[in-house]
Amino acid sequence: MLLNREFRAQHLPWVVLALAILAGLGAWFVVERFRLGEWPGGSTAVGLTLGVVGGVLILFEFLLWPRKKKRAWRIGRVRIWLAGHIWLGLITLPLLIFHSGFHLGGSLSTVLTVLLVAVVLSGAWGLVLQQLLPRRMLEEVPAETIYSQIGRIGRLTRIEARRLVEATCGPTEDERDRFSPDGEEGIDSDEEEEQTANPSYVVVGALRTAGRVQGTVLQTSVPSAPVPGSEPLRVFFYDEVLPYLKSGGSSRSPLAQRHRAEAIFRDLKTQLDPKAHPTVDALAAACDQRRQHDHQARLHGWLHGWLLVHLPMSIALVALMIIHIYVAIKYW
Amino acid sequence: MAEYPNPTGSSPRRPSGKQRAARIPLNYYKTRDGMGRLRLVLVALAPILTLGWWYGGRLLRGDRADSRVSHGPVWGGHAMWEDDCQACHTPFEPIKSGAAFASRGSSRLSGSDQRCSSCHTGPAHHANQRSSLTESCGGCHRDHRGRDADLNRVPDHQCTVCHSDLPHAIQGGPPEDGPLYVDVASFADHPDFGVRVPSPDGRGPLLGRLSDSGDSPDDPSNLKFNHAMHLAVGIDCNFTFADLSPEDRSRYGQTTSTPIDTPVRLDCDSCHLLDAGDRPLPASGWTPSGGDGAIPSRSTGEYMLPVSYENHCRACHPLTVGVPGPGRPPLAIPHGAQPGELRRLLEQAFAAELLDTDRSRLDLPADRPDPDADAQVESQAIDAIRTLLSDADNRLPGPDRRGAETVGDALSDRIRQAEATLYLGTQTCTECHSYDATAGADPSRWTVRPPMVPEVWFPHARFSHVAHRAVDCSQCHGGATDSKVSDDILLAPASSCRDCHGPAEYARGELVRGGARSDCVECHRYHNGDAPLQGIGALARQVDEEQRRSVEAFLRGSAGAPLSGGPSPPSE
Repeated sequence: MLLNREFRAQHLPWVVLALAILAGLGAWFVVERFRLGEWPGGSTAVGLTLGVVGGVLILFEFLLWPRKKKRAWRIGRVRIWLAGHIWLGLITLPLLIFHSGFHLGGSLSTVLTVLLVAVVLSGAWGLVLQQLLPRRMLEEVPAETIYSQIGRIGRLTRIEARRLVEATCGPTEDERDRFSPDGEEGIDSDEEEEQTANPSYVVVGALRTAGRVQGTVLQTSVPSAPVPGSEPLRVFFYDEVLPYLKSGGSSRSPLAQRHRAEAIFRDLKTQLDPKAHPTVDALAAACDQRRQHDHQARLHGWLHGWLLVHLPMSIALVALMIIHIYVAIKYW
Repeated sequence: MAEYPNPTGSSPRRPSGKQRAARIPLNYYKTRDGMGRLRLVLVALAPILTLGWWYGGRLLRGDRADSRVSHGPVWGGHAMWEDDCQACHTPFEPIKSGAAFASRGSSRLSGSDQRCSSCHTGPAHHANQRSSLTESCGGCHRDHRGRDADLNRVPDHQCTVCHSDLPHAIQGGPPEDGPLYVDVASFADHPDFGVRVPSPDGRGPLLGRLSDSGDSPDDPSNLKFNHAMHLAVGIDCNFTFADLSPEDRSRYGQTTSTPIDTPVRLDCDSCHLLDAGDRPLPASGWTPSGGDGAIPSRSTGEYMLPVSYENHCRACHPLTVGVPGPGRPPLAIPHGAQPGELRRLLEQAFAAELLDTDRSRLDLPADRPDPDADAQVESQAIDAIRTLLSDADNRLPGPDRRGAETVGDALSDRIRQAEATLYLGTQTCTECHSYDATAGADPSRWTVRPPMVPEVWFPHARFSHVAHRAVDCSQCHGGATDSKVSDDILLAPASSCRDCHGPAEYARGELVRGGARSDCVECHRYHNGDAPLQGIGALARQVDEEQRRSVEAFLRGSAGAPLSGGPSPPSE
């Protein structure tokens, strides 16, 4: 969620509410500190109030999860919920540290404190990443696609690239058997993908600009008749391009580096008839798409990896908080 | 990326919208990517692990696993019940009456207090304190603050909840003729220290307060003592080591290199000792004072050992009266006897002297098996002396016996002289004591006013001399070297305490005042506070046999019945 969009409408009310809660309870806490001569504990009136407010806020924070799952419910827009989640979530940490009286206590309260700190910090980290990475992805990954479909898009690209190479170089009988859909080496596609892959086109993502509008479009290349003397293209495809399209950066291919790839493809063109150059360009574009998808995957990992900490620890926090409430009342 | 020209020269064909859409399946969102699957696994594991940790511990350890909710380690003395919450806590009942939504006094003597009282007892602070303001045990003595936490270090607000508004903290309001009620919110508001008539319970009438204006009450001790004279070199009479018995000289500072004619110079430690072992024993041996012989060989060091005649005065002030006759030693007078008792002692001694005999020659039976034999011998001796005094025919032996004075006359004369020495002179009893002589001129009917030197001058507070040992005595007991009258109370007002005890004050970066603790419990106690030599829980030290428990029961933390002498809830 970008904080610079509709900040006043979506965030400001939550910011004011959060600061009002923090300032009010914080002032009460400080007043009690001077009245008691020591930091109030969790069982004092102010300590218990802080604990109750902090607990209610944690439950509200937790409700964002089901709210996202039930987007059709008419209980406020998810963006509004998310704004409340951010600002109220940030004050739970000081409120509950006040509640503790600045003591870690026993193992349960220590675990609770650690979980709370981890949840709030991971959320704050996620918020920071959400401000930075989407813009970076927009700028650096024009071939961005749905993250979960990167693998599928890659497989389709490999199928189409192979067909383009076969069309350019002319398929051999051995290769027809070797790279048949049932046992195609290097292209682990299924039948549906074989059918989805356009038999006549190579489709890759590319950045196109029309006036002020910028976006990703599909680029199509029509297969040509076999080009004489294009055997180096076939060899290069199967030895370098196909492994890279399949494994990406982990293949340790020089194609993973943009400048080296450009040099390699320029060198390849010098060995081929100019009629085969569009195919080389198409393969270069496919490799570029693969690089972008690898980059997108890395950015996606950063953009959503914090949830691997935030979500499980939030659940653990709520579970232990319920236990904490019960035993705190039991041994009041 | 450049557009791909058609190798065959034909124009590029674009895929249809259906073909483009087919590249992304419509149900793509129903399948999870790797990160989504990992997140799902972690989300499922989170409650399993956390609840497993909690309930697994309970399966293994039962209720003792509840110690994981502890605020922190309990005090070292309670460490054996670290895992047994219910040794002190009653489930679902606040252990602190000051807890939120639990009014003060609500848990006084509740289940938790009963468990505390099974080992700890102490009297209530005041019998008339308002119960709604009275905290439970756990409200003041808060545990779970670490092994070394001081549970008696109660924060001030526990005291000032009443003492900042005392009239409203007392049931029925303050008595009209009661003591001065002062609202104290901090040590800065503390009233001047009061001096009371010494009494066993520390609640004697208030004589006055020690103020900075110097308007202090008179010393109530009934003793005459000139500090200035005793602290002067040679005790203001050129008193040298030669005037002391050889056994006492080392006690007062003589070393092997000190000439015998060196004047004695006393200091504070000559009489005021923290420990019985601080000085060599006097020649007569160390004599416990206080009547019960209960002075330990090593005191706690908080309070000075009582000053006694036997230990501190006799070396310079032997109690003797002269006995006529060559080579006769002076008659030693026992300290502590009243004039009537001394009269009988003098009669016996001088009668025996005059008759040139002793009690065995008074024709009295000896070695009687009767347990009251001594009393009967004493009684018969007195009767015999009365007869001597009244019989005009009993004359002193001599060549002209007829003209000699009677034994009774001589006896009366010697007693009169001895009593004049004792009661009218300045060397013996009257040196320190005064008398109630309302019964007439006969000294034997006088009464020595009882010394009432308080063992603890401020019985409602505590003071550790040993903790202040680095400070010169005169800083708090100023004027001792100049005090010539017994009425001076050489104690410091509260302002002198505030020189160290209070908020730190700095001048040009240097500490000039304050810095030491000044909270209430630094000086005051709540339970049994008027018995500073006993301490908290004194009432519980002697436990009835049937209330004692086995080690196993003790370690189980089973809450027994409160010990006798425990706190009683003040009724509203």
